[in-house]
Amino acid sequence: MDSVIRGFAIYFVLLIAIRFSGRRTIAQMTAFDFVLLLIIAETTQQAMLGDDFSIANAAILILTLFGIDIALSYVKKWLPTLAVMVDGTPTVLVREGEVDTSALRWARLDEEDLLAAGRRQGLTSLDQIRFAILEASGGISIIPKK
Amino acid sequence: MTNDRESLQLKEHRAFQAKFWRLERVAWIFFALILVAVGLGLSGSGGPLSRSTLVADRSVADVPRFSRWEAPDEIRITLAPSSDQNLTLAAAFFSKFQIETMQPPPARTDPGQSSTVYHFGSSATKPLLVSINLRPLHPGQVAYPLGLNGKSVSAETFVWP
Repeated sequence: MDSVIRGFAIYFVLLIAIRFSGRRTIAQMTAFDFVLLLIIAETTQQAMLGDDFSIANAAILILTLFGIDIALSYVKKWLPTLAVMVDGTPTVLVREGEVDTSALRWARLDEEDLLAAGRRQGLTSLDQIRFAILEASGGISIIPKK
Repeated sequence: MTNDRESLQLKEHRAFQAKFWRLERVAWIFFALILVAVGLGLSGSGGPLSRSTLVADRSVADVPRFSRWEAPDEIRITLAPSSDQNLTLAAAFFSKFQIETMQPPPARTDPGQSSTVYHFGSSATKPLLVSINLRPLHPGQVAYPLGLNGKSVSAETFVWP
């Protein structure tokens, strides 16, 4: 029972912390963002297992975490508002070539991040971008001008 | 909600996102406040408010005000010089804490239904420092009397989950 409670607690602590830290964190845009996620994974592992390193405990925790995730996916289907709150929504950062500086600032991004995303699509400057969307996953989608 | 149907098939929920960005900033302040509280010792494990000092006659007990579930902690007791330097721990203490080590070890232990008395010998001149390494067994608030050379003081510890 302890393991299930620990699993629940850590799942929701992580969900809240990561959701409120913003999508920039989950996008792993820099090496440090990636390192941060690794450290968090290591830290939470200790908190979930406690002193019990048995296979049974690990199996219970894995099932608990998958169970919460599956249950939450159904709840999000039934309550679309909750889905928006938990998963977030896409945000348009560039619309028809116009950069939304306010959205960039609030999302803790800058034009350099847009250019980096553009370069992955073979674009070399901002004025080649028609749309840029910050996806719920934290990635930036670029739609080039024709 | 924006829906650029002509150019971009996307449900943006921009009004919600704007509110959420503000909420994010409030959450950051809340995160910072939590860290300040941790720095002050409200989560245990060090900090100016993490421990309390209790005095009975000339004996002193330094107990954790906040502790953490299954994390090692310590109670430091200075027993005043006496012909019988002893420490009494109530059953309420054992319901929440497990003693891992006690230094120095007691010369004699008198276990009882409601409390256990540890006798350390006698010294008419020297105070005795007793260090108890313990581990909280359950989260929650616990109040327990401590007997220092027979004089009782009330201690309280909140164990974080």
